[in-house]
Amino acid sequence: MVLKGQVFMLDLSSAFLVLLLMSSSFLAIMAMTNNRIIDSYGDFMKQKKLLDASEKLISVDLAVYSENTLKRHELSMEKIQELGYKSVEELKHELLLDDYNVSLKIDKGGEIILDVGESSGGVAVKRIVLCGDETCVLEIRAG
Amino acid sequence: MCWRFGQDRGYVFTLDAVLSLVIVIGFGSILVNFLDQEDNLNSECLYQLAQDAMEVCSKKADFSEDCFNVLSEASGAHYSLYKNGRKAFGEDGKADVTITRAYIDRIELRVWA
Repeated sequence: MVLKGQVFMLDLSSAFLVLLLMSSSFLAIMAMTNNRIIDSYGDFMKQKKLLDASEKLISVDLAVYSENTLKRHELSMEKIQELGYKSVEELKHELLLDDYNVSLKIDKGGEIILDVGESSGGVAVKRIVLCGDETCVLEIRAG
Repeated sequence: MCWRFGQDRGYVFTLDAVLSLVIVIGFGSILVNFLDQEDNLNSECLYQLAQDAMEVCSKKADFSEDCFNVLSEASGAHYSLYKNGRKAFGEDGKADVTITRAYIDRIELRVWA
């Protein structure tokens, strides 16, 4: 009789332990999923802001102005030079990227013609544009 | 309420099975979520780059391999270009992004990571 009672108590405590493990695993899984969603959302928002910033650069700030029209995807070398004199803080403010460490690079056929700011890692967006007759790659990165 | 020894064993076994199922489903969904998010981010970037390459090459009126090379140089992506449904140049592969423009020729750019 005593043995049966002991076995019963053992089974009951194992059931409780399993229940405890199950609920803690469930909570851990939910927490991990939640963190992952928050991280992904953060990266997504960062990338969206970078895309907007790059769009502003290639459509307005650096675009060639001719015949009362801003030529999208065609960058003016004068405007690129002018941008090179700006501070990173000014650039971040203009591109609405105040919350991040931002770097901007323009590569023209293997030669870096603009390099502003320092940022490694994080999220980067590259855009292919025209600098005069040559193809350039604009890279904007936020860490 | 009276507990019976035989039923308790079944109860514990069921809980174990449910626990294993929850763990498997949980880790599976985390893995799927993780892979999906990365894919979405990458394909978004790839789509933008492919659009840019198409825009730049159309501005240059140059639909040669030289013009589209910058696409693989900038992103490491693979691509192929079709003119009027016929392959003009590029590699073979399953496209993640396809961009079509109707100029004098119908140009189709297929890009994959």
